[in-house]
Amino acid sequence: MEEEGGTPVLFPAYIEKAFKDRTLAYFEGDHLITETGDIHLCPDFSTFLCTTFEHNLLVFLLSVPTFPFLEQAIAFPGNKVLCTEEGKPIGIRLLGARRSTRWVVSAASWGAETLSLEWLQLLREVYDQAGVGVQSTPGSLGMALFRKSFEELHGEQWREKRLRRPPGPFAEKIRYESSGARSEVFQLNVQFDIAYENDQHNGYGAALAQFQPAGKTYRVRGAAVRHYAFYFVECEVTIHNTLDLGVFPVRVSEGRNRHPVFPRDVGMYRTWLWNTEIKLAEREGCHIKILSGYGWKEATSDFQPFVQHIATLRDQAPPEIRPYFKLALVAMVGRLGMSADRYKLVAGDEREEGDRCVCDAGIAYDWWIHQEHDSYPQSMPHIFSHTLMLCRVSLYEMAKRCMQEELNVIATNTDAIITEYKPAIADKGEQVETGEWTALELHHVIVTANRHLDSDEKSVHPGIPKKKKGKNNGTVTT
Amino acid sequence: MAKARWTRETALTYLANNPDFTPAKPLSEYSTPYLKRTASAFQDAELAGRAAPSTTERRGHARAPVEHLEKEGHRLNQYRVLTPLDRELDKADLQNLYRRASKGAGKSGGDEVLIVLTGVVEYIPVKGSVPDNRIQTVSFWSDMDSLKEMIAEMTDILSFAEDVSGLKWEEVLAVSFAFPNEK
Repeated sequence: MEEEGGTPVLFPAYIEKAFKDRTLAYFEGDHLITETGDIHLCPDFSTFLCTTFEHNLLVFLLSVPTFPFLEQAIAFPGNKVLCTEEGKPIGIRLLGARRSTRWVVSAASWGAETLSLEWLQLLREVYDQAGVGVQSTPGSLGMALFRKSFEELHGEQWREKRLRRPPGPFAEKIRYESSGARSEVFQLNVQFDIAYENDQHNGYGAALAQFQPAGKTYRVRGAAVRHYAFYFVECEVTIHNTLDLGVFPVRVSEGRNRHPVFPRDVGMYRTWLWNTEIKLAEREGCHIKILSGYGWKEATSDFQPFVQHIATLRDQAPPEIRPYFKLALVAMVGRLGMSADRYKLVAGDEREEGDRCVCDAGIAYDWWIHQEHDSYPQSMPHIFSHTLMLCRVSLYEMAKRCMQEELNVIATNTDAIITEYKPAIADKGEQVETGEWTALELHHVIVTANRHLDSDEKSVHPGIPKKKKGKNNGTVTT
Repeated sequence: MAKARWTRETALTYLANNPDFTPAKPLSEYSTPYLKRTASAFQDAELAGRAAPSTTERRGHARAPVEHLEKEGHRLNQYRVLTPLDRELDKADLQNLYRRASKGAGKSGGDEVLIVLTGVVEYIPVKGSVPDNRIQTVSFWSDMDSLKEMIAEMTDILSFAEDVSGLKWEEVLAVSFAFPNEK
């Protein structure tokens, strides 16, 4: 029972002895089309299954829920249809002879909106550049690159050098109490002829590459906390004088969503903060009373070579595949924050007590959402939380600088600050190091909601498919 | 005889005149809580027509004995209390355990302590992850100062176990404080 305070879970769990290769393919209508241009007719699930194993395929779909053989895939013994907590299918693991597996995954996770031979060939180029075999999702590509860099860093000693995951209940509490990325609007629906998007180059990478908490996780309370190198604790923060810019996050609830706000008004706030945020708040004149939380005595920089490696891959790659390496890094950071619980769809005759029925558009299906607990989870919620905190802190420092220089801050978004006037930083497109800030000049800029921006050059509307977006369709958001 | 509301003076007078009570030292050297508790226990026995109360009765309940399990093989140097048959562990038991363990901690290299809890956890994450009898032993790292505060803040043993572990407990059967760094 590692998870609840026994033998610790170590990260990474393994290092590949050899990287697996697959032929890339996509499924459209009733055809499987491979990256070499071969077309296989698959009128039924059985043929689909045989073709996938026979030709060693990794199959991409535009949308897993509309896969015509979904029902058979769920019912077929040994297959696993992974889904979201709400029951939306996200990937299918097919089981073959001698426990071999093949995956059917959504191309949307790679940012693809249409499937084509050209897209498969583009993805092949990404795999060739990365040199860690064929991985089904950007997150698994990022993880494979991390494992490779970890082995290169520690060599034969990699087993002993592995990082320790906090015990299960601690990890879940850290996940629950952590705040996400920072985004605010200061000038809503005001149009500017010219404005600047000041963006931190490889912001997530810069944060992940810094020292991260490592070693045993200690349950800590009161003043003793200050003896730890890192701590994440619940505290009472008192703001004595109104702040120009909120320093620390407080999570507020709206239904099931809990999002961070950054209070500026005088008052006392109860929240969970990292030591870096506590020191920042104290620097800005706040008073902090620490209650209890978790501490770490050790630090690691094991992610630094991985970030450097991805930055090199990105810089050396042709422009059309660069975004995929950014995607892999961001998805890998996201994986560090994943829960130990997973969900899969099971057929009615396999359901167990407590499984929930899938309902969509008013129709109830004989598919059931079954929760599974991973007893050896490969996530590191404390490192995820710490990385996001470092992103928030560098955003705060830059936004504060922009305010002090009276550049008129319009909005902030994760690792970008929109200002009316240009700060003294490099222009976008210039060669800069990870973590440095660059400015992109935009015209006719308007921020219509938190994280939603329109301009002549680009539009950012997270959660809305590009084809449904307004005047510009070109921007990928992270 | 009506039950008295004890003060130090009335307790001193009562015990000085009670032939069944044999002090081990001059009465004035005892603490006020001890005098009040002892006088109350003797009076209860007298009113009920029972013999002189035992030490346990005078204390209210027996302290859970602290066991010292010395470092041996893979086992850490640790101090443990088991839940008595007739009641739950309480704050006094853990304070006593802490007091005894602190002496052991003094011999060790650092201030870190492994808190080991044995009992029944209320929440079971997944089917099959907990043995059939549902009794499990889990352990979490802390430091002596934090541990002292956690004991001071506890309302009962279940709240202490939840504070340490982040898990909801139905029952706690044993608590140990263990030290890995003994030189």
